[in-house]
Amino acid sequence: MLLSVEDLKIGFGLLEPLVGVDLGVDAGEILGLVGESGSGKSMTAMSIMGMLPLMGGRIKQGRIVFDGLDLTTINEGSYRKLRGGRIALITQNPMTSLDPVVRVGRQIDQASQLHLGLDRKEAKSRTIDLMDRMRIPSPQHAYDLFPHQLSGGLRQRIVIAMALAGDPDLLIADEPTTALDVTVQAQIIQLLVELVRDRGLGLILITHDMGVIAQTCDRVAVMYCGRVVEYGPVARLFDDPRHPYTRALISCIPQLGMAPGTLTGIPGMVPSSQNLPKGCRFHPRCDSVLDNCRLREPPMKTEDGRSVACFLHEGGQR
Amino acid sequence: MTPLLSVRKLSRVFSSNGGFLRKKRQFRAVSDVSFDVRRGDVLGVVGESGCGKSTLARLVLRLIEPSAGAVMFDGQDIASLPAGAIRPLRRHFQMVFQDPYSSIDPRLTVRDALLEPFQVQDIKMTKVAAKSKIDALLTEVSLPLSMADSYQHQLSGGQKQRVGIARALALSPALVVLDEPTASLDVSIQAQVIALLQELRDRLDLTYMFISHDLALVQYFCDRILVMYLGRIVEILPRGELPVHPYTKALMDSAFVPDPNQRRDIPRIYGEIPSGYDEPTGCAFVGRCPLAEARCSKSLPRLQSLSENHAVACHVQGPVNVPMEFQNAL
Ligand SMILES: Nc1ncnc2c1ncn2[C@@H]1O[C@H](COP(=O)(O)OP(=O)(O)OP(=O)(O)O)[C@@H](O)[C@H]1O
Ligand SMILES: Nc1ncnc2c1ncn2[C@@H]1O[C@H](COP(=O)(O)OP(=O)(O)OP(=O)(O)O)[C@@H](O)[C@H]1O
Ligand code: SF4
Ligand SMILES: [Mg+2]
Ligand SMILES: [Mg+2]
Repeated sequence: MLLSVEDLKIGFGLLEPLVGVDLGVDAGEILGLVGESGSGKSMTAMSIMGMLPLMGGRIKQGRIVFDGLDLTTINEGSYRKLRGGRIALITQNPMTSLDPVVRVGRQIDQASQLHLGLDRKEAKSRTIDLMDRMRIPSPQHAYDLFPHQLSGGLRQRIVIAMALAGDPDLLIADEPTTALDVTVQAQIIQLLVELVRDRGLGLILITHDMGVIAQTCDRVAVMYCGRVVEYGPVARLFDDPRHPYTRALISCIPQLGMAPGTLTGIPGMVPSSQNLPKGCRFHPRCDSVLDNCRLREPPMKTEDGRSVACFLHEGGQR
Repeated sequence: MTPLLSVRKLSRVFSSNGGFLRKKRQFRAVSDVSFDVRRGDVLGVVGESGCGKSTLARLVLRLIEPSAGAVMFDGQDIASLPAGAIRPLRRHFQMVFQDPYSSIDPRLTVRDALLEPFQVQDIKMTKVAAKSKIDALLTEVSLPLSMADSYQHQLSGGQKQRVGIARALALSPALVVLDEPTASLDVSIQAQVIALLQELRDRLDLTYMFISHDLALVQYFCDRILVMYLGRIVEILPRGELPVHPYTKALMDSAFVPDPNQRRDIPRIYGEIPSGYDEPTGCAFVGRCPLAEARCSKSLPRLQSLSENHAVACHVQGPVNVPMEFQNAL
């Protein structure tokens, strides 16, 4: 595994936004992280990027192993060498990652100057090459533009080029296309997939779009209220979802040719982190509750390459 | 039966200020749009950001003034009525906005927010009548009655959107225009809200105009779909029929099918949406269209009927021989 997260628990004061998170991604592979708003997807990304201390949080338990190195043991100085270098993050809103007063080309240069030790001229030619590969039209010209002179889709491509400039082994994309139109979204996702396949980097793709997951990922971790509730290969997860939450999420996607009235949604809503239900965190919304579900948290059971945390599958069998 | 809503040749041009030494520019947000909505139908409107969906909605409700065209609501042209004559009619057509946070005053309780439409219309109610009205509205959108005393910061996104819908229903309208009502919600909550809207339509005999950029959602929920590109209708597509216009097809092909066993490459459509400042001489989609021919950049394709409910504006994919009886249908 290029990266593996093992039994991760994080704390912000008394709150624990992530508990018992296990997942992994290999080189040349795409791991999808999916779940409703507030389920802990971005927190997982922030933990891997070593940003928790900067946000007022900390790792309470577990390991984050990247290429053999446990990242929970390294200091901020060592992290700074990794961030934007071997591990890069693409955030949802490109404007937060771009400096409005610096030409976009220069912003891409900075990563390769810092992490690859290129001089300015080498960095520029690498940047133009990257912009070209991101299919940014006339990169020589675009190099000198400011962020506000570009459309949302082009800005997001600049942010991806920035993330790639330091030649990362692991890329985390946190909802990279949510703010974009469907046609642009399709192009950008396709671009990310090609990068993984051609350059062999590992990608963690965070989204709440099950369609994107189905079309691109190798494996999926479904998150709910700070926990991974189901984890496994994408085809098996869609063909035979084991956790009632996974099943419910899949049934919420409008699909072509669906009969009217068949889309019902998941009753209730995600509980707030201050007010988590006792027992299984999904039980108030679950359609298959057992007595046990109200009392204890179901442990994660792994069998045959897939994991699920649900009493219906205790012991791994159905 | 006459349609509840008949829009004819509706256009809206925004002029930019120009400013010092700059030419005043004209932006065509909505151009020459015509369509009908039958009573009880759900009309969907799809298209990418900036194509004029919200402008069209606001024109239909006369929240902004049209540059040209007519909006016949129940036989009356609300686009040309004097502003004063519109107010009493407003109770018959209401709007639900995309952002459930921005459309309701944060200092109001849910109760106050639901009573506001009555105050706007100068409808007096006794305390008892008001309470039973609020209870009925909350029940209608499946919210607990105790929520009347909540402020919006105490509500979830889905609950806020339900309050927005309840507010739109307060005056028993005939037409409700929903501008991306689920865009900021999780799919699980989106599905709840759509199920609620469907149930309300059946029970209260409502007519909807439903704006979205999610083609799969619109195909699920709507009887007919207007597909807009750069302020114009490029296709009117009935439910269950396959799209014909290259742009609608591109939109459909860009959707990610939630089935890992049906993976496919997404055909790219290159280029960006052109600016609405320059009136194109031909089809606005010509620069991105895989089927474009020479004639496409020379003249504007007109919206022509393919069948009773299906129309398309495309030179290449248009009707070959249009029967006489359809030629003036739109
Ligand atoms: N700075 C913070 N301090 C404490 N708790 C936080 C902070 N930021 C987020 N949280 C909490 O952590 C939990 C997980 O949030 P996170 O942002 O990871 O969700 P998400 O899955 O990324 O959701 P979304 O789809 O909305 O982006 C939430 O309950 C949230 O309230
Ligand atoms: N008051 C205004 N003055 C000038 N231009 C405007 C005004 N309102 C809208 N526009 C322009 O008209 C075009 C259509 O805008 P509109 O809001 O109708 O698009 P939309 O299809 O609803 O987009 P979105 O999906 O982003 O909501 C946009 O380019 C917008 O910038
Ligand atoms: S009219 Fe021509 S350019 Fe326009 S969509 Fe049809 S084929 Fe393409
Ligand atoms: Mg997030
Ligand atoms: Mg809009």
